Amino acid sequence: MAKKQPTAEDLAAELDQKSAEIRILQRVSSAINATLDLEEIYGIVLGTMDEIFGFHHSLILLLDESGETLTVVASRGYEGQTLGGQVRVGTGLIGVVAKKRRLMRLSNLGSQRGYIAAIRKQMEEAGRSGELEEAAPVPGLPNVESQIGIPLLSKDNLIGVFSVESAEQKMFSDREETLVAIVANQAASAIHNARLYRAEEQRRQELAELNETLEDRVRARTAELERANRELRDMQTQLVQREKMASLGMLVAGVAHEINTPIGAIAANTDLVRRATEIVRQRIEDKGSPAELAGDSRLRQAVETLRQASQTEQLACERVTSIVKSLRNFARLDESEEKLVDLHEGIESTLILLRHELKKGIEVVKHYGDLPQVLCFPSQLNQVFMNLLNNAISATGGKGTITITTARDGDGVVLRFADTGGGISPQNLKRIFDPGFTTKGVGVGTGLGLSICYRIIQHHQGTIEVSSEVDKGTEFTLRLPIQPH
Amino acid sequence: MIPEEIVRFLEGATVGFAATRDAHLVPHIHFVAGWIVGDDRKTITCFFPPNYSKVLMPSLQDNGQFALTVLGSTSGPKASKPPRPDVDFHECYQFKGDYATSRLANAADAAVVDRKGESFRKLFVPLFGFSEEACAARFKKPALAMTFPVREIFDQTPGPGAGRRVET
Amino acid sequence: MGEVRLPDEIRPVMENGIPAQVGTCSADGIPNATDISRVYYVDSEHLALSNQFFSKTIRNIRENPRACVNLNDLEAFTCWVVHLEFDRSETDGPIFDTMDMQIEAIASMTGMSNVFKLKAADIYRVTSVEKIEYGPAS
Repeated sequence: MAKKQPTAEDLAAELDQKSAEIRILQRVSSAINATLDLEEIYGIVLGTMDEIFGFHHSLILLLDESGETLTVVASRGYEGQTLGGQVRVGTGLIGVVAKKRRLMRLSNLGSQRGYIAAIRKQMEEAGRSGELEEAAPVPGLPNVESQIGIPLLSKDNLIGVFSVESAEQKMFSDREETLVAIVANQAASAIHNARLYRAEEQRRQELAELNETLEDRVRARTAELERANRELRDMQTQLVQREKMASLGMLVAGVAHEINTPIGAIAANTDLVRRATEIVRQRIEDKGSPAELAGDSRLRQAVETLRQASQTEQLACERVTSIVKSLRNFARLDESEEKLVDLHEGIESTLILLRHELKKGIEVVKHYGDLPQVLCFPSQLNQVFMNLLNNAISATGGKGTITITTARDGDGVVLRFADTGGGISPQNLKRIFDPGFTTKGVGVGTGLGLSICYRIIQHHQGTIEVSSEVDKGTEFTLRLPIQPH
Repeated sequence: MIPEEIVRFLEGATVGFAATRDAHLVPHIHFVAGWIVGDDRKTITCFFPPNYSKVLMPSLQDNGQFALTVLGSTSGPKASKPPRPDVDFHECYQFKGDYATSRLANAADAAVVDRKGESFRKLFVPLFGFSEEACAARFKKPALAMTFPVREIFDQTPGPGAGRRVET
Repeated sequence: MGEVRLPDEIRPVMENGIPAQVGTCSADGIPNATDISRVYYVDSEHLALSNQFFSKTIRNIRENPRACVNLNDLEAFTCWVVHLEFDRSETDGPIFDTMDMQIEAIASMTGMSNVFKLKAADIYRVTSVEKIEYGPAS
């Protein structure tokens, strides 16, 4: 079949038409690229379709963030509301164009709808309605006959779909399809840039607003933080105070018990001394001869009682003196500054103060090494020894062994406090130095003892470690520099 | 025998075309402008326009094989309620048989074709937007009438039952 | 014999929405006539028909690859008679994709996604083209 040869007039007309189209496209391109306003871009695109190309029904849909739905953002030539109308990706021409990211052109949709409706009817009558779905409504002309759908792509990313429709049973030609596609592609870039610009503008505005209020907010936040900090410090102080009071309470109980014993002895002696003294006074008043006095057994007994009482009182006083000395030593009240001390003295003072607890059934084994004097805050370290030994006594439950080992280690000293108590589980071991952590139950301990010890040792530039085995026992190891700094 | 409801369908149907094949098994399609069912309901006579295909008669004379397909809206049991012409005109049957006789078309045949043209116009002008002129051009005064006894009937209405043989 | 080519003027007729008629013939010589809503242009030497439902037409083609398609251009008082020979069936590629997209679009709009799925695009080679101008009524 021979193709009809175009005449010169035909060619000239075609050239004119193509030139006109190129000019239109250039104008459209300039107009679109001259603006970063989305509404203006939509207006230019849809206006071009309507007024210049004669396509009176067109839609611009943008893809939402989920990538599953397209929403109409601009429309032209529709009665009633199409803006905001939605299409699921994969439904209808618009949805399939979005899914496949390819241009599609359909025509004579009316006859195809009729054909499909005929099949639907047959299927319903044959009882196969279950295979049918509800027809999905899509925004656009209900009686559309011809439609072109073009994906709006920006660097291979789908941003939406452009649709042009007609209710006429005409077919969009190849030429018309090309024109629409060119405009749509220009629109895609412009829309992408305008959205970026809009997002940027929004961010800039938010930043400006943020800056304006920044100073005020920083001030408010600072005040808030200062307030929180103060509250925290107060709480910490209270907790530490409570811990100190708890420790002091224990200490006072121990000391009171220790002092009671010698004082009890002295009190018991008083009556004996009084009676013995009375006996001696009577005998002397009776004016017996020295030989008779020497032979007086009651007198001799009374003198012996006085001698013994004196011894007991001396011992008791030494005992009280020792307790008070230990207490003074422990508290080191007159020594609040850093000093070179013999750490063994501190350990011994603490042991004396805890004697009443220890003698219940706990054996204390000491392996003291040759320690030099250590530069430290003695009252603080004594607090550590008190805490560790108290914990060891609790752990043994009144029956077991506490072993204290000391040794020099280069520029430092190592002190180990081990008990044969119940041990600490691995999960508790991890948290043993955490402030507030306690295994003694609510209200029994403050849980601060070991955390305070940790801080004290840290303050001395030393280290405190713990190792434990459940049902075997626990050992705390302190390492301290002889001369910190 | 052609069932009663199919006879009624044929009376109201509007689009007809037929297939033949030549000695080399090459098929051909022919436009059929009109048709009537024989009084005994065993034959159909088809009417062809003046420009009917040159291969029609040679094919029929070679092997006699003929297949007539008719589409159209029906007022029968298959019609939609309410009527939907865009759906119902897809009702379709194919009639297969062997060529029996042919003759020149006469005035009565032309009247049948006129009626068919009128039905076609009424249906497809609104449906497809055809012009009156375009419709009329298809239904010119017939030149040839060809009769064949119906051997088999198939329901070709698109859908799950398409291809089902109809009891005759 | 030179290759037969489809003229450009036939393309709009293929998409004018008027159903085309397809004739086939079984291996034992029984012809079959059916209509088809859409014929797809592949290139100047090939057409495609959608293979959605297994039908007598497809069964005949598998036995006897020859087919005849009539395309109607009522407004031009013209009928195009195109003879074809089955070439191949495609289940992927650009032709299949284009047909699949179109069928998917229409099926999804009409709630027929479960019914209308393109099984294959049957590609036919054009063996002859004839334009029959039957002219206006008077």
